[in-house]
Amino acid sequence: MLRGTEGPELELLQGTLDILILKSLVWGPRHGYAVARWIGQRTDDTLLVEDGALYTALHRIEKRGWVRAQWGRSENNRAAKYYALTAAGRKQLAVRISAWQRYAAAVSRVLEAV
Amino acid sequence: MIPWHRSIDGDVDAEIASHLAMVRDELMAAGMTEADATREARRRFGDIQRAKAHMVALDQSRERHEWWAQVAQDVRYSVRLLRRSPIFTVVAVLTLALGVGASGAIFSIVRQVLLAPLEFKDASQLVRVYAADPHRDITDGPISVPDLDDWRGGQQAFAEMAGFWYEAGQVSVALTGDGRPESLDPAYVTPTFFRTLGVDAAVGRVPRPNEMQEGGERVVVLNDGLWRRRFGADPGLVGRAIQLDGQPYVVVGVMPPTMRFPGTTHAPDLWMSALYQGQDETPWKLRVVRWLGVVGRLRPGTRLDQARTALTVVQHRLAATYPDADRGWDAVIMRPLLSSIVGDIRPALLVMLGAVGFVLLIAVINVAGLLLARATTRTREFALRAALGGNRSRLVRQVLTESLVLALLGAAGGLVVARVTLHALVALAASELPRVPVERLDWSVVGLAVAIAIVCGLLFSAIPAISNTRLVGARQATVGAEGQHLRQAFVIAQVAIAVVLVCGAGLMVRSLRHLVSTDPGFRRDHALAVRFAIANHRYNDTTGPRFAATVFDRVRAVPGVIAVGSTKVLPLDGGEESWSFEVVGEPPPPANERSVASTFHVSADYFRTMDVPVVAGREFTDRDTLGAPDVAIVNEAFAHKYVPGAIDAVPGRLLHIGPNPGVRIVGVVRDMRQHSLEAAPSPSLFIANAQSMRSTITMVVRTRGDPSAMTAAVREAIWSVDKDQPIGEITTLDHVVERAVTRPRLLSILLDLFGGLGLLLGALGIYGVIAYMVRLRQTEIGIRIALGADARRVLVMVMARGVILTAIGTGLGLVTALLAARGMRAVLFEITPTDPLTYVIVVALLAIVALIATYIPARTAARGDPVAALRAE
Repeated sequence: MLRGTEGPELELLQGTLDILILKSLVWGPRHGYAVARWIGQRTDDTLLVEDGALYTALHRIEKRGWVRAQWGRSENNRAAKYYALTAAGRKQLAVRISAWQRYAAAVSRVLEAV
Repeated sequence: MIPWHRSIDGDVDAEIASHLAMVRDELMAAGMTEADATREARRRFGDIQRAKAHMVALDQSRERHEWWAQVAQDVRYSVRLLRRSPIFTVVAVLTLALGVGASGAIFSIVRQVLLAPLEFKDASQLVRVYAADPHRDITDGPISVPDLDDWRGGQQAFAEMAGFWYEAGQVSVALTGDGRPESLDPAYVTPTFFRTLGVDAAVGRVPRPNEMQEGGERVVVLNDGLWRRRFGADPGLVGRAIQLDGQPYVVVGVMPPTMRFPGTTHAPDLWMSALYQGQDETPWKLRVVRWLGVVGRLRPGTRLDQARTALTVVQHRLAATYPDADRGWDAVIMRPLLSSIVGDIRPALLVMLGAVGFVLLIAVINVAGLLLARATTRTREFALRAALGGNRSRLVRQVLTESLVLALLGAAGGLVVARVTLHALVALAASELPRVPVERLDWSVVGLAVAIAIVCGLLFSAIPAISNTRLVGARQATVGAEGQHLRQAFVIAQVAIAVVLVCGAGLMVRSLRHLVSTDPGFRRDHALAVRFAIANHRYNDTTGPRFAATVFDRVRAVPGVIAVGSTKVLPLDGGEESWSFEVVGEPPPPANERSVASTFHVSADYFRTMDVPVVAGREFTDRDTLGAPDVAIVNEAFAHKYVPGAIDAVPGRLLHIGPNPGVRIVGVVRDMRQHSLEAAPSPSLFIANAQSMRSTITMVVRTRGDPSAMTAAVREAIWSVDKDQPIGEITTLDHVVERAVTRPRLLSILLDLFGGLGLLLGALGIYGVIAYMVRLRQTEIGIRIALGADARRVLVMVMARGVILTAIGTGLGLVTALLAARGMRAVLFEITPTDPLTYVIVVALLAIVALIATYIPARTAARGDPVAALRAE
């Protein structure tokens, strides 16, 4: 699903994309393209998210009730669907971040062991 | 499949298109050509079709989920609202439950009795066949054993045909052996009876045709009830012999409880071959002796009219070949077996069905009126919710849910009411229902209740949903006025239906009063009737009457007994014989016609015991015995029809009856209602039982005190003559008359209930609308009173509205009632469906109820405190 633009493909763990999307919405509603662009920028395009996968993930998250979608106008006055975090989404993000950090720390400790 | 499918699809398409456009714009801004930018945007997106499919599926699943969540929320909200106004909820649910319950119960009975196929194999092929004599207006005549043989062999239209005879209580056989002697009602059937019906025994088997022919072993089939009551449902009884009239009969089977044929409201106790109908030396095999009813099974594909044509040809041939026996019997009448069994009760059931239909209608209108009132008072709530951004379709859905919840609660209550009502009705009407009713609701009734609930729910919600949501934001007063118009229409409809229901009840009550006050021609009080049979195997033509005379003497000696007499069958119980005769000295009747009279075998002192006046001559005495000159008594109807001249000249005339050349009329008695209370007395002929003995005897005992208190003493008196004498039904003449009006009485009670319900609901409707009007006009009325208006004028002003509504409703109701009452013609006695008195009484009753219902809120208004009324605004 996620593929590095250069070098070997980076397989992302299940659910990682969800966190990235939720995180991207913390500062306010964005449309799908803005979410994709934000992820690209923040990861210096290490992770280039295939747009199809991103949208599928957005709809899945919406179904879970973590974001709510509404049509609006983009900065270029184009109709775009904006996603906003719901209260449940915010809570979910906090839970996921903490879980991710513990996971990453654990894996790092193993890998850094001599 | 799902209504929102299309919009989701478009939504996803638009979202993808918007994304691709934004990417393309950015790439073009970076210097790419439009074609390249478009291609690059699509490449980065990946498999568009696959992604779209995923997104659509996810959205659909989400929306479905949200929809149900909203429904659950709406239902919860509705329940909360309904609980907040318990009186409204209880009244609405109860009203609906009564409407649905009453109609559900009646519909169940109608379905099970009138519509469900009979419990025989391919029952639609079964028909009742009657011999008809158009010259004498006989359309349901019996036929003889030789005629039946010729009918069976003479045509191809019927696959099989059988004859039978059964009259409850008319002929009995004595069951002896194990325990008390008991007198049983047999059905006599011809060998092909069971095969024709295609009916099988529940235990054991039905007799084979060869077992029912002469020379075969005597076999019998028992009724389920007898088997349980007398033999403890012992399956081992099959194959064993029981003693009937002193003869051993092998029980080969027990019939299922649903098998009543040839009985209708009661099943015979047992079925046995017609050849054992040897009692009283009846010449049962002669062609002139017509006694068999006929049932036939049509060949598959044969129509009723084809079969009739075929059989009529046979009957014409018989009439030509055997003029003595078949003269005049020129026609054959056929009816489907089902309609011959239920035809009698059909008008009564249809009247009930019509009545509950009106009850359901008034219930629905009542609830609609309640909801409308509620909706108008909730206008503020809706306006507020709309202002707070509640979208319109959501509000409509909320109202819809509320109505449906209410309607479904009503339907659920209705099913409970229906079950209870059905149970009570079946218990009450068991003796009147010609088929074994199943005391449970079938699924069609449950389905009907739910369907009614849904339709009502939609109807109910349409009213407030339209009037409220359309007017959200508009002036509130408009809603009130519009709702008020609709409510007034509802009240008019309620009053109209109430008028119809009360008219129905009124007609039935008046008809029943006529029926009950009809003089049966004998004295019904202080008389006991005891049925027993003088068994042929124990007594003959000489000893039988002697035995009966001894019994009468013993009973007469019981203290408190005034007189004792007997008849083969009591008046109103049916089952009399039909004899033809000629009056010596009168011109013979035209060819093809015969003089026929209902014939009864009665004892000496019978008319004195029954308190029937002897108009001329004398009644039978102890001297009218076998060997003495043959004598007869006739009733006035007979004398008027067949013996011209003065009544006093009738005694002394001679009758030719069959081969007997000289039966002398010795007396004329006052007419009695013999067949039913409804039917006018017909020519009757009374024969001295001592001269032409009938084994079945109904002894009438005229008592000084309470007749039922004499039961034990009378029974002991009989057993003091013969301790093995089985005794059949013991009842009072009062009960015999009462039994004859069971059906109209039952119908009257039910129509009264429905009429009362209609009246109550109608009154509630009037009360509700006037009370509401008073509330709406509280300010205006307050101002009027403050300005010095007379309280009486306020009262009149408010009441005028109620009176106008009632008048319109009554007018419409009267027109409807006049039309609907035509359907009651068949159940009314001596009352036309347009009976003016009934309608006058109904209008008066309604006027009173309506005035009361109007007066209460009007008085409240007139007494109203103007300051309080003004402050309320």
